[in-house]
Amino acid sequence: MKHSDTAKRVVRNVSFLRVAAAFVMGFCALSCAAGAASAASAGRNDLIFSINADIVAVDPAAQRDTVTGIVVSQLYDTLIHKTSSGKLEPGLATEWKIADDGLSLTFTIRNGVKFHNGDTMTAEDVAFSLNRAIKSSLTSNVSSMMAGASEVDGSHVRLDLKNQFAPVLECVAATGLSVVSKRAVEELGDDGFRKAPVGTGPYKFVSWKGGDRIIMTAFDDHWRGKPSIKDVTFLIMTDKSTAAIALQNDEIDVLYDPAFTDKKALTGLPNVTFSEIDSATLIYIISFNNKKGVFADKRLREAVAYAINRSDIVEGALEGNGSPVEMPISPTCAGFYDPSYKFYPQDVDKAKGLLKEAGHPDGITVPIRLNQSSLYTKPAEVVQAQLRKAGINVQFELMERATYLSEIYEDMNYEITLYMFSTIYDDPDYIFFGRLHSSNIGNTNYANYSNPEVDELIMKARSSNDHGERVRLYREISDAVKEDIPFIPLMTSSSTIASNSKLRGVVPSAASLFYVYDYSWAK
Amino acid sequence: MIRYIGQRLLMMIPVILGISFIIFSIMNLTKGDPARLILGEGATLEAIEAKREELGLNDAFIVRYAKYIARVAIGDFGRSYRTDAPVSEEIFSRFPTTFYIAFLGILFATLFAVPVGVISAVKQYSAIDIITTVVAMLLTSMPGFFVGMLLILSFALMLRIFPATGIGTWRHFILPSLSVASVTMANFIRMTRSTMLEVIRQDYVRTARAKGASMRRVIFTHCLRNSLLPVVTVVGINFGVQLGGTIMIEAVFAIPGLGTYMINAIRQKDIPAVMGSVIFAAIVAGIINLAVDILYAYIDPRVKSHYERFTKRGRRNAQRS
Repeated sequence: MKHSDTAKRVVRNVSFLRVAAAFVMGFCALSCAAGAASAASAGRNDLIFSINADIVAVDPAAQRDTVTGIVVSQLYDTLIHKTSSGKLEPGLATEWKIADDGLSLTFTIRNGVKFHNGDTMTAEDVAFSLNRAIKSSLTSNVSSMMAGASEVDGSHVRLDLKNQFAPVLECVAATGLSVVSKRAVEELGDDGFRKAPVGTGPYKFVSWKGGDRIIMTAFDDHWRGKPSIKDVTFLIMTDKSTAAIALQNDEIDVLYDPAFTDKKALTGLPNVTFSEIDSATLIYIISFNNKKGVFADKRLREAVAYAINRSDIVEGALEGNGSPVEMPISPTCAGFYDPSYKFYPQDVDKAKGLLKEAGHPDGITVPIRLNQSSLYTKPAEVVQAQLRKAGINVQFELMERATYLSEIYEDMNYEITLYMFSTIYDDPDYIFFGRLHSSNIGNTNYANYSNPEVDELIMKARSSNDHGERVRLYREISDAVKEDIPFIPLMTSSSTIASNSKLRGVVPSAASLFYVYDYSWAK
Repeated sequence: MIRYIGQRLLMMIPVILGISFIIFSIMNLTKGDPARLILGEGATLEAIEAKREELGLNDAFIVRYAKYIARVAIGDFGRSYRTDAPVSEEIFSRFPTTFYIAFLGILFATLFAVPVGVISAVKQYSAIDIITTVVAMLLTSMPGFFVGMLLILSFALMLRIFPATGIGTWRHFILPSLSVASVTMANFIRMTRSTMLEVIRQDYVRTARAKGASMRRVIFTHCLRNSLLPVVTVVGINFGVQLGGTIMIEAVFAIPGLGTYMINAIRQKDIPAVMGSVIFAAIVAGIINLAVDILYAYIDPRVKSHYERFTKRGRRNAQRS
């Protein structure tokens, strides 16, 4: 009896061990089969590019964030190509003409451009792609002014606008309006297309493993010629310091948006090149609720404007990696931004005087509502210290992004807030129309600002095609902002990129545009 | 036994309904408009409204919940708001990674902790006991991501033995698994040690020794088996927790597992993705608990006799007595 019991147990133990062993071996086999990406240095024709978030799609009509834009822009081309330095060049359109009434554009389509599936691109594909993006609610931020596109003849496409819109070329150049293969979309459907996208870009899609990596390979028939680097992997690394270590270890070749805190460590390395440029897309502002609460009193808004010191905020919050912005225009908007323009100089006594005048001789205490990410709390801490000196005590009320957008954008349930946003197209219209036009109250105009004169100026400036007139109009609107202080422009942060120093062609981009096509390995 | 398993599986349904209702309520009743989050900065009000309509967000809360559960019942977890891909596809593509790391981590921890726990119980208050207690305390006080960072610094950056990030070969799994192990190990050591200490003082242990059984035999066959039950429970619970995704560790090692998926989904208010991963994690936890209960039967015959009540013969026996 006892004997057989022991025997049974032994058998059971052995079979358990066998199962466990099979498990471990199976696991090893599986993981070994997955294959590794190793980075040897000499004679390479592959590239590993790390991004800090997963993308949302490989379909341009679903693209709406920077990281997705970086990946999508390798796979597709736009009619107008925007270079890393922000210049607009002919892309899939060789030339374009704006109609005299400013309500339509006609594009001449480049001949002989091949899609990844071997088809030749036609005017039909172009019109189809534009209409697809216009219809998609996901790309409304660059296509809301467009009415529709139509094929004029075999080599011309007309884009109709709902209203005159000066920065329309910037929008046509947006990644969201890339050209896709009509046949592929129709045959595969939207779902199928997202698994096997077909564009004209220098790289062909291979695979996308959610949360892990996107793999693509060179498209040899690309219209600008074969790319220098053959295999490209976009690796998703959400932790920036981990990514910095990986770059240091040659595990990755390009690191998009490294943390400012890693800058010092990375710049000192022989195998890494770190570069930065003032970002066109990231603008920090302090906003007030102009109609409700203490800051409905203009004198208090003015007091805040006098109390802050931009250079100290850039130093304290961005470790110097940014620039003060004194005009409500992105500094990269060439011709519009005037570097000599001054908003309000720091003058704490004047701020205190204004408080007294407004009936608060002992200062005020007011909550500042913020998105809880350190992107916003860090600059807000510096602002808090500066305001305290003038007698304005702001107390932090932190919330997550979803709540923040709902409370601030929709309900305007706040007194003062500090926010950073990205300008989707690089034109003064983006900030002025979004943040100041009364039609955007309940959306991006959460300052709750409505001024019929400013509304009119904004509409006039966006529909004018005369650069000189636009410069003058935007100057006028900037003066109105300075007069009414619905919000205070603060600063812009740097756009950074770090890469293996043997890699050529990597340049920092104010608009966060990075084209692997421009890169090559040093011989 | 099979009947028992069937009953336990059926009992999971109300649990999952309850969990799903709570999470769905939290996601829907807290502030924040998913449509606005999806479309991002600069979307027009018309686009936001169109998106709300498309996602069915204008329906009443309870209608949305009923619709959701009806779809889940036929195995459709919906599409992620963020990527528009089926949630079940995204979960299944990430689960193996999380599973391997959790499994290896728990395996490392158990293989190390049980012998160490036994030794420190047998040699209570010896140098080895004190050292393991101190080490266990240290590990408990260090969060997993911090251990992960230390491991990256030493093994990836200085010694260059293992890669710092990502997944691919078996070498990629070692450091994350060790981080998981370090978090859970201390708990296992303590558990093994304290239950061992309890069992060692039992009368039958003394009897066995008095009968002339060797020390080794007494410890490994009499004591260990009797003290394993609580240890198995703790190991099982920890395994379930790790399978839900080790968010911090996945973030540190840039691993595309369930944890990172879930945390991103929560941040983006991607309701279908959150719901899908929570329900999935609940099912996995339920199955592991069940597996642990079944394992009890193999370790302890007293538990096994309890299960027999669920078989026909068992019930007959019970009636007869």
